[in-house]
Amino acid sequence: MKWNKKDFTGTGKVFSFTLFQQLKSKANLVSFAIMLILIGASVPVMAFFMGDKSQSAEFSTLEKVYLSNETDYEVKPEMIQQEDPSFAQTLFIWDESQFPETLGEREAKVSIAEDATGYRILLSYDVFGEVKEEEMSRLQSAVEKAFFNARYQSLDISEEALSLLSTPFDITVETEGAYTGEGESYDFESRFWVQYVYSILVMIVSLFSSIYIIRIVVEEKSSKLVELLMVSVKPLALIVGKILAVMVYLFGTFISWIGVYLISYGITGLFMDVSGIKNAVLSSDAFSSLTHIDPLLIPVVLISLLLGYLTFSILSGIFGTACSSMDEVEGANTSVTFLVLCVYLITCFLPNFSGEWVFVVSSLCPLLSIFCAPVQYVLGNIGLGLLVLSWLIQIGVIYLLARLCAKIYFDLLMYRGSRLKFRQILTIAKRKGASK
Amino acid sequence: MSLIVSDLWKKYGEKTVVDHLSFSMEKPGVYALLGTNGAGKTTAIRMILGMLAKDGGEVLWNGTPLHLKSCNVGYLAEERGLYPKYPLMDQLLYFASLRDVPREQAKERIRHWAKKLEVEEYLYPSSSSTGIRGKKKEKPKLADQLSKGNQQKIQFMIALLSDPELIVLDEPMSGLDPVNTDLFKKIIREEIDRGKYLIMSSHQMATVEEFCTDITILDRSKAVLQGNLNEIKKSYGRVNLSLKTETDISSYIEQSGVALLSEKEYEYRLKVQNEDQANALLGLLIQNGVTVITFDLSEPSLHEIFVEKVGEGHEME
Repeated sequence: MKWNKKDFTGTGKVFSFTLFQQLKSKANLVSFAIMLILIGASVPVMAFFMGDKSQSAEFSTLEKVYLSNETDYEVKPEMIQQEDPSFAQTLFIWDESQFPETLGEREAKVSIAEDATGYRILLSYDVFGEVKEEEMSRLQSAVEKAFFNARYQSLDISEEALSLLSTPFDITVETEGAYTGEGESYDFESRFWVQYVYSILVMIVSLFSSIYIIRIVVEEKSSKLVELLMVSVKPLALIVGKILAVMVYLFGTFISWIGVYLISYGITGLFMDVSGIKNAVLSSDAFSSLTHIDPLLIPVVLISLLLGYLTFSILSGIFGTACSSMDEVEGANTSVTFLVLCVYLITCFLPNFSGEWVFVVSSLCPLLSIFCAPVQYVLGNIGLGLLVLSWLIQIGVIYLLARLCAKIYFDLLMYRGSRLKFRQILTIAKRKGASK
Repeated sequence: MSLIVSDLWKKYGEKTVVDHLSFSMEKPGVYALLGTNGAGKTTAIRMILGMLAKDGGEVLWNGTPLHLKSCNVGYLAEERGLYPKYPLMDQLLYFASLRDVPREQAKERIRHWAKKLEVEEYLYPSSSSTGIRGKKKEKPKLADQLSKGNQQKIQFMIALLSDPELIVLDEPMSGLDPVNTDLFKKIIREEIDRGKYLIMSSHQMATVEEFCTDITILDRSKAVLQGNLNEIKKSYGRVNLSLKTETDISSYIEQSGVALLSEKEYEYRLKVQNEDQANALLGLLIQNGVTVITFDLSEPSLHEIFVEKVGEGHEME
């Protein structure tokens, strides 16, 4: 069966009608408005709570810290307070006679001890009290640094020498590609975050598109309008118009959500302190991993997303037409969701493996490549040639799926009965003359 | 203009669903495709319209293969429906646009047909008084808010929106009440007068008889009877006799060898072999002083021809 221009006649009309009806749909409008309100409101709400947190972070809720030091090194309270000014108002008590039997709600105890293996620092607090876990982490960090400094000071080291010794340093292991300047180096955490964020993105796009496309296709089929439509448009134009309409609707929705978030961030910044949100985002592992990525690679991500969308949307169209009534939509959705989740879970485990064959196989294997190929390229694990090959394979899969769809779409649209399984769909496709 | 369907056939696996069907329409009018359920009428229509791939044969419109660009077709499918949750006007404009009818022209035609089919109130929401708050505009109707008959009218409108040259109506009157049936008949008659070509498939023989000039009766994928309806009827001869008398004539009927089909209060429906047999019975009645109120000798109805043709095969089964 060859395609020609006639097969796509009317695609634009199907596209505009479907998109227009999606935009007019009351259910869609309500859910869209709710999402916009939630996203818009999330910024001031976050700013309120995070701003409060930063206020509280200025001075710790810890009122008293009992300091027990069994070593020869003198750890002074001001050393701890110097390391973390949030403890400036905290009272440090080292007189063991004043140590209580039990710790109060705003109290903690730090015990520094020495044994045969080395030094031990133990921090105790009431987990049901008012002291938060993160405050204890900060206390731990401050005590650790103060003890470190106390040890050097005991050796009569000058302030300059101490400063020199305590200057932080970072160790990075880079790949041969990065060494030769052909690619960047990414550690496990970066690889994990890049793969994780992109996979989530693909998953959201795939699941949303499948839900919308299956619903639209089944709605049309169950309305018994198909025969009337077939007089005017070919089956391929019908499904392509729908897929494009849902694509524009979904991507438009996502873009408007991002837009509303940014507008809300800007407006909130005029009235409230949004530095808490900014700092939280900037200090997150995901953000620091993603900022390594060259902005020029955005087209790579967009092309890959588009190919992923097309693959899953055509599959959804086929699964949708196998249903005869709206009652069967859930079953079709489950099938596509299961498929997407399976591929997603596999990609979640991939950062644990490294090796050229893993990168190549995950980038070329159909379906898996939707989630993996751009990530492997961004991480420098595969070259541009392999990425293009991956795209070509994906385009091939899309073409085959579209051909399968064109071959069986009419038969499936005219089919009335219980939901067909994929095996039965393939049987229909093999049947002679199953082109219309 | 002419429509020629020649040697059309289709198989699903080993089963033949349309077996070498041929017919033609040389002039405007109504051609009827008749048959029992599963005889292949709808499959034949789908092949004629190019919706379904044919295994063999051809369909020519004005000498060239019929397709959407060569022939403006209006189709009322047997399986009918509308998008339940979309406004009716949007749906009508969508279908008009699919047939390349310009938007403004489509609006004009929708108004024209809405008036004719008496569905204006569903398509053009009017302002209605709602008390102290003044006037409130009604919301446009959705398809699922319409009765089945009114939905059928909207679908009929869709079929007519492109002002088609060839109109294919698959069971157009099924499920309609008598008032709406008359409305549909009136529009079909007008379309015939406007020189349109109509193909009609129906189980309602009286309706088909009212409009059709030519017919094909399909039985299990094969055409068992084809031709001009009047000529077919003539070929059967005048064999239906209706008699009404003032007394019981059962003995005379038996004596003349005429088959009695039914009898109710001296009204008899009889089947004669030919006109001579009927005249002989009439002579016998007059000779014996029987007062004859009605003597009506007619050709068989399409219903009888259909049952006879299709029934033969079914009896053999």
